[in-house]
Amino acid sequence: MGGRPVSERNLDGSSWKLAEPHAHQVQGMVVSGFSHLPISQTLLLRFDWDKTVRGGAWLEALAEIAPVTPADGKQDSSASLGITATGLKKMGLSDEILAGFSQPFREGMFQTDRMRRLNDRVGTQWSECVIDGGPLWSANTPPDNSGEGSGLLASLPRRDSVRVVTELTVHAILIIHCTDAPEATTWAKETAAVLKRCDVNVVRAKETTLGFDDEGMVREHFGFVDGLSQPIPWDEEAVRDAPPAPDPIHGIALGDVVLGHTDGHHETTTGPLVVPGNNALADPDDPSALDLLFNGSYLVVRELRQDVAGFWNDAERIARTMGTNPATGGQFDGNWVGERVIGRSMEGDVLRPDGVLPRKPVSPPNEAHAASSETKPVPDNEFLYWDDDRAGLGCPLGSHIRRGNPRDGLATKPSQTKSLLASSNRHRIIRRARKFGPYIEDRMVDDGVERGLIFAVINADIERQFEFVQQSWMMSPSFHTLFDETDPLLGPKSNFSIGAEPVRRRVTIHNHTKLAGGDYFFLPSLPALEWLSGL
Amino acid sequence: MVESSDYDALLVIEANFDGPPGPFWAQLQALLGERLREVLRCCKRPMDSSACLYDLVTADRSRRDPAPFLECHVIHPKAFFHGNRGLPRERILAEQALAEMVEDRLKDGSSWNGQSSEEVRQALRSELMPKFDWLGNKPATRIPLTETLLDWLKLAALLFAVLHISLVPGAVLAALLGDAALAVLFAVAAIPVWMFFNRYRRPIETVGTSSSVTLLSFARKNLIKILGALAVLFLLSWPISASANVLARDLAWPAAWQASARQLAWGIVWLIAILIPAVLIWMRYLERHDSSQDGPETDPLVLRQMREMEDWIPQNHMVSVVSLRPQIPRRAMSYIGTPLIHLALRAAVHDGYLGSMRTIHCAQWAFVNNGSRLLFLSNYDLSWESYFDDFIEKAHEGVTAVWCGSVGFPPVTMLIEDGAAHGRAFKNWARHSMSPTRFWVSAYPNLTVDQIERNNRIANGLCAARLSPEAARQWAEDL
Ligand code: HEM
Repeated sequence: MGGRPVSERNLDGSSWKLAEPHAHQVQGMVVSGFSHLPISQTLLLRFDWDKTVRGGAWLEALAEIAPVTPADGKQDSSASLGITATGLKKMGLSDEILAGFSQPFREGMFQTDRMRRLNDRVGTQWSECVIDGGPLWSANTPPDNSGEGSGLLASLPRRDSVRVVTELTVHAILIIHCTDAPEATTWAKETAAVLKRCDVNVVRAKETTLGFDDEGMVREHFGFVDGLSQPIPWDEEAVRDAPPAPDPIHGIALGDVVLGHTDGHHETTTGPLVVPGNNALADPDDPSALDLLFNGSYLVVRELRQDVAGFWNDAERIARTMGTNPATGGQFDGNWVGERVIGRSMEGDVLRPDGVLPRKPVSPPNEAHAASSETKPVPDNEFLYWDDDRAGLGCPLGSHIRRGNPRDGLATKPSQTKSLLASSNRHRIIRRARKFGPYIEDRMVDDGVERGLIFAVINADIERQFEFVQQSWMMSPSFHTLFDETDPLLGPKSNFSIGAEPVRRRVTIHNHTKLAGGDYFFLPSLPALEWLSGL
Repeated sequence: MVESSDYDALLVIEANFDGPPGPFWAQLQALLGERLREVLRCCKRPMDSSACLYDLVTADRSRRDPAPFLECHVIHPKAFFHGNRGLPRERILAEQALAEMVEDRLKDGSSWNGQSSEEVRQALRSELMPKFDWLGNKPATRIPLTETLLDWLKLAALLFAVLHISLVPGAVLAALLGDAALAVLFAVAAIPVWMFFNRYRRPIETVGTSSSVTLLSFARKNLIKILGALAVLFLLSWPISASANVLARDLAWPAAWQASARQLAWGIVWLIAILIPAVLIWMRYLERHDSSQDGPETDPLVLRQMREMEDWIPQNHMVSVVSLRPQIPRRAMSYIGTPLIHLALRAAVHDGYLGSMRTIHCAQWAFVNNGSRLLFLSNYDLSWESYFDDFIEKAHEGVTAVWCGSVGFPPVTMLIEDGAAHGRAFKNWARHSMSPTRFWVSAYPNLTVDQIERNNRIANGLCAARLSPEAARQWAEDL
């Protein structure tokens, strides 16, 4: 694992921590990418117990073998747990309590209208961005038909209504993070055995890794440095040693990441109140009542398969059609195209009209144990678009990172840059993706091995954050005054405009990342988990 | 169709069209006449004079044209925001065709290497000129200067009327009392008013969203404009009040000018020192006692119906109806404020976008049910969620100003603060007020506001015989 970073800092170089008591309650995964625990096992669980079993029993067993780790410090290994709406229901959570969870979570990722919005399926057709035959796994949330067939509106013809049932039903996701693979495998095996005894079955398991290169940077399967840009949550009280103001570029409200704190829309989510041993809404005046959502979060998981050879062959094909590069006089190559797709160089530096953004020299490390790799300059993430690359001559307007986070680039006048940066930041997500499958030997030759990303997002408002990014930025054909094109990395086959002078280059790019499964999970706080174990 | 439990269902036909109404009614009649008749047969017979027309139109085997009946029931919006203003549908479609052809000619862009933007533009222009002969003409001005001037004039007239009437009590007092007495009287009134104002102007604890724009900071920022407006107010009011003095107090003209100047000065003092803060205190009192709705419940089935209709094409439609709060200042604000906002939007917005919101085709506000409810109709781009996020993030002050007088709206401070900045509360409230749009036709379903503007920039650029290198480069950025 060469020169992997050993400090507690996040991959993106930021470090923010929660103050007590929150650090003890929030799951570790929320605040940390666990860069010191690069190997993990992602286990998708299904609850198969019958009616006689207590819904919380499995959590008690789990606490013995893989206790969920809080965000209060570095651990030698770590476990994170998310539960789907169907999982909570199967655990016996009463409907009145479940009703206090957010609507997208309750409906699941494959609700008819949601599939259309996320561009997964329109009408009866799965999109090209989904594996053949549709996704393999989901929470299999039954559609909510309450009220259907009654009232004035019921007589209207329905426009679109399908029920998707995936082969595998997933009730929970357990991610265990370790320092090395054997440890992770053994631990996962033991955990699976313990869970099995509670009739919880592992229906899908993936070894997932961060995968550092020699420079200590994370590389995803296509070969790009990943995990560079993350928002930095801020809260006057709940963030430890909070600076006087949020970070000017990446600062967001803590409530956009952790439920129950002030969020970017000036609100705090309050969840259903419960008391131990009672599966019903508690008396709001009861001082011992626990807000089930407080210090929890929502986890969006999408298993995205990557066709690495397909991507690079496509990139090479495109490069060949583009002729000579006026800037260098030489031929365009596949890397050049791939880098425009992402918007960053293979090494992670954002593209600028005159090359890439130079790295800032590193200030001398102040932590005594900082490893040598940290003293090397890393890609700079403190950039905006308006001043230096408004027209997208460096980083194309429709590139993955501009669609993922347009920063101040959507402004049309200098006076708008501040407010548009602020408005972009209301849609930031914390990405905790890890990859599965081995790196490809030769990126031009398909080896038939399955690989990709377990794309995982932590956010407090699924609609405003993950779904907004996916729908209004990634998949929107009219993003940024573009037309007829979607995200070149995630979208279906479509045009992709690359800013150039005198006129833009426009190429056609195919789809090489496909959805193989996914859903929305609740990441309970540790006190909430304890309450759930009592079910 | 708008349904609610407090009123009978309301049939709303929204029509946004180019040109005069005559041809519109004829076309509507030709296209939908018989179906409209069927629809009207399900409606209540009106109680006013249009009842006999209603009978004629809806009678068995009637062949009477339903349009005249509908015409009797037209409500013009009190505020209308027109995105892409000045571009009729024909032009939008023509420019789209042109932009598509340009795309087609540019291909992947590689063959233009080494040329300047202006050379590219000239080449395209001469190549496309035969197909699009209008490229030889100067593009029509989107909003004629006269129209803009007229809008400013109307805005000024309305503002003047409101302010002038408001300062009359102060001026009348000045006519009755001497300076010393007035100064004492105003001071005695102003001091408690300002004390109260200062005490209550800030949001109550749970309401504050630390908005960066407050009514006071807004006023401070625009101080010069406000002082200018007061000076204009003074000058315009002067002849009016001088004539009033001549008529009512039998003064000679020179004395009347002098007396009225003094009265107006006192009138303005009254306006600023007493009336405005007093009205604001009244508003603050109402705001602090508002019953905003924390948990409006949207019928899950209605919600599904709405969602089911959304996001099929880049555009979406929404209709919302909310009840207005009953208090006098609230109603007065709504009835006067909405036309003011309308005129201000018309006068000030010329680039087709509403500030940094670039997704609104047309949005309108109208009062229905004897002015007790506010109807809002909007044709917008992208998802409902993103539309409302735009409202919340980019325009919450304006949105709050428009809706703060509506029942259930999230708590507001000083007319424009907080309110819609309470993101989820505002979204829930808005969803709750909506009804599914059952039938909806768009004149150009695949175009967004942004793309229409872009096509327009491309077309305008191509119309020019010559562009400077910098202008040509900017033009090429849109391709
Ligand atoms: C196979 C799938 C994907 C791959 C290989 C991938 C790869 C990358 C890479 C290399 C970066 C640049 C590194 C960085 O800025 O941290 C990036 C950034 C980003 N990606 Fe992805 N990504 C994938 C899927 C997604 C999806 C599904 C979303 C959301 C819907 C997403 C959202 C983002 C965001 C928000 C950023 C950060 C942009 C910024 O803040 O500047 N990505 N991704």
